[in-house]
Amino acid sequence: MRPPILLVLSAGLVLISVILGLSLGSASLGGIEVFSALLGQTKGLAFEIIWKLRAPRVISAFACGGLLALSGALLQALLRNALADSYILGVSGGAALGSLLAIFFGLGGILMHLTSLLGALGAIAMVFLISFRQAGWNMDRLILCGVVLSSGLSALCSLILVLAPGIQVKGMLFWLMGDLSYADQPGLAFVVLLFVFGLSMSLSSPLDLMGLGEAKARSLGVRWRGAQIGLFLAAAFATVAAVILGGAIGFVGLMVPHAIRLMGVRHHRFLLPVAVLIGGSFLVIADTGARTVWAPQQLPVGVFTALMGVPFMLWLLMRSKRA
Amino acid sequence: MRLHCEGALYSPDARLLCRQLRLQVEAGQVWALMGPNGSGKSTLLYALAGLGADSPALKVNFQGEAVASMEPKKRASLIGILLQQEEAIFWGSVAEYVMMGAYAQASWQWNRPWGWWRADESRLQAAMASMELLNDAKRSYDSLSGGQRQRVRMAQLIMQQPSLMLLDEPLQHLDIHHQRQLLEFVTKRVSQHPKDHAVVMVLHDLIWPTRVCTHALLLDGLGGAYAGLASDVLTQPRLERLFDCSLQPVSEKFKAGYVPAI
Repeated sequence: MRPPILLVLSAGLVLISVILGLSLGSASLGGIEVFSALLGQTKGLAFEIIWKLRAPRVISAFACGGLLALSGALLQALLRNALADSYILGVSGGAALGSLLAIFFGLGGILMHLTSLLGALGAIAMVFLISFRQAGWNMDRLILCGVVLSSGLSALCSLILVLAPGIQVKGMLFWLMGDLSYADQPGLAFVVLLFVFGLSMSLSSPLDLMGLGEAKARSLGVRWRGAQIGLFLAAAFATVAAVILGGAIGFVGLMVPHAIRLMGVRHHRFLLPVAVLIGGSFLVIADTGARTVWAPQQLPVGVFTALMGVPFMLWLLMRSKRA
Repeated sequence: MRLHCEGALYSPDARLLCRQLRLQVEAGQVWALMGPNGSGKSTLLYALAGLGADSPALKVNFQGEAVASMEPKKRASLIGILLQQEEAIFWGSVAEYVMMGAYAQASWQWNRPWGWWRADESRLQAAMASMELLNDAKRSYDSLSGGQRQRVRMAQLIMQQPSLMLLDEPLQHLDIHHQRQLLEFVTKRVSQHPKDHAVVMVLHDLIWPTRVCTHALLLDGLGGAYAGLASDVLTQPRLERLFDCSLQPVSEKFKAGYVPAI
């Protein structure tokens, strides 16, 4: 598919997903009610539900999905590894440990955000310090380091899950699977999304060349070290912001960039905006499913991203000519 | 243009490759860089291209400016290198791969918001035509054979349009037809612009250097180097000593080439 067409289509997908997210929910509102509430003509229950409950949730889901898809696309290109996703730097493990500890000790709200932020930053710092210690920036070492650290952190998380009283375990599981129920403050995440998107778009041409390897990219005129540091930090910030907002939502950061590549988009100046739009709307749709399918019970959105994503990804893999 | 290089050459693991290297490449010259395996040919090319680890032992200047600290895009427009091995992960087409060579020259412009990849279609066609790639333009890069990839990488270097081309084993994987074509292209490029262009290339056989190169640099891998006019440097006794192999001269139009004697 030609990239500009895909860009337009994904913008259309955003519109559809937002309309779906705003109109569907556990309170069944009719189409006319939703429409007039959206236009602000009736101030009533529908208006309250849509603007105070659903809109922040939809915006959060979009920001979260956009951030994860963006950081996944960046890390796959930087590490030159198709299996890289947003969490390869150990962000999710660190943040998970932070939030599980917060739940365990009964801390909530802003304190929980703070502990998961500390956990995420601690994990990133550790991965970067170990991998980039010497002159050689070894990408394999970084990936291994991230994987090793993540498994250590997930063991600690399992330990907390075992030790925690039963009533806390459910909340912890929701966090671990990714959950947007408490994501009602998407403002900061949106700022991070815009900032990271702008930064990575300004480096999108060097990013194309960086896939050719360090020597080649530098010989073609890429300011290698600067671009690499900038993009790594951008990807890390994007992941941290997403994880703080919605927990460890899996699959978006791995799958969305791949799906876009399989559809024939390889230049990052197209791949990055399409990734943000599709990642964002994908998570809005998944979150709408998580809110409505078992309503009024809410399911963790991570389950839905996997349930929707896996078949689609397998289908794309089957029909793609390239193995 | 003038490239000047002086000092000692060390391998990445700090082995001494050449004690006292002094090399001056001027516009209009075609250099053959020769020596046994592991004698530091690629390491030297990396250093000349400004890609090597910062080594205070070897000073490389292009028109008096140190290449290691040059602004990357400026350096890419002056010096281009064909690498011996590439770790490229590239899913795009041949034409897209070649177009990446234009990165250093093309800048963002208001009427070209999508940037350099649409930079210069006619130059792209010319670069691909010079390596006989026009029929393969739309094929995907990773479906190509080794020799075809080598030509695509060469076309990318042509797209880059550097003054000085550094070619690390440019003939590898190429059939005879394309070997001749590549050498003819690079030497013509220099002879047609004798004030702007020069080439330094690593060659392994002893037939081509005497015929296409004006100068030669031999690295013996034991700390010694020998540079000068090709006709002075490429003599049978010196090459026999360098490669530890007895040679048989073959002459073609009054120019002697060598093949291993059996």
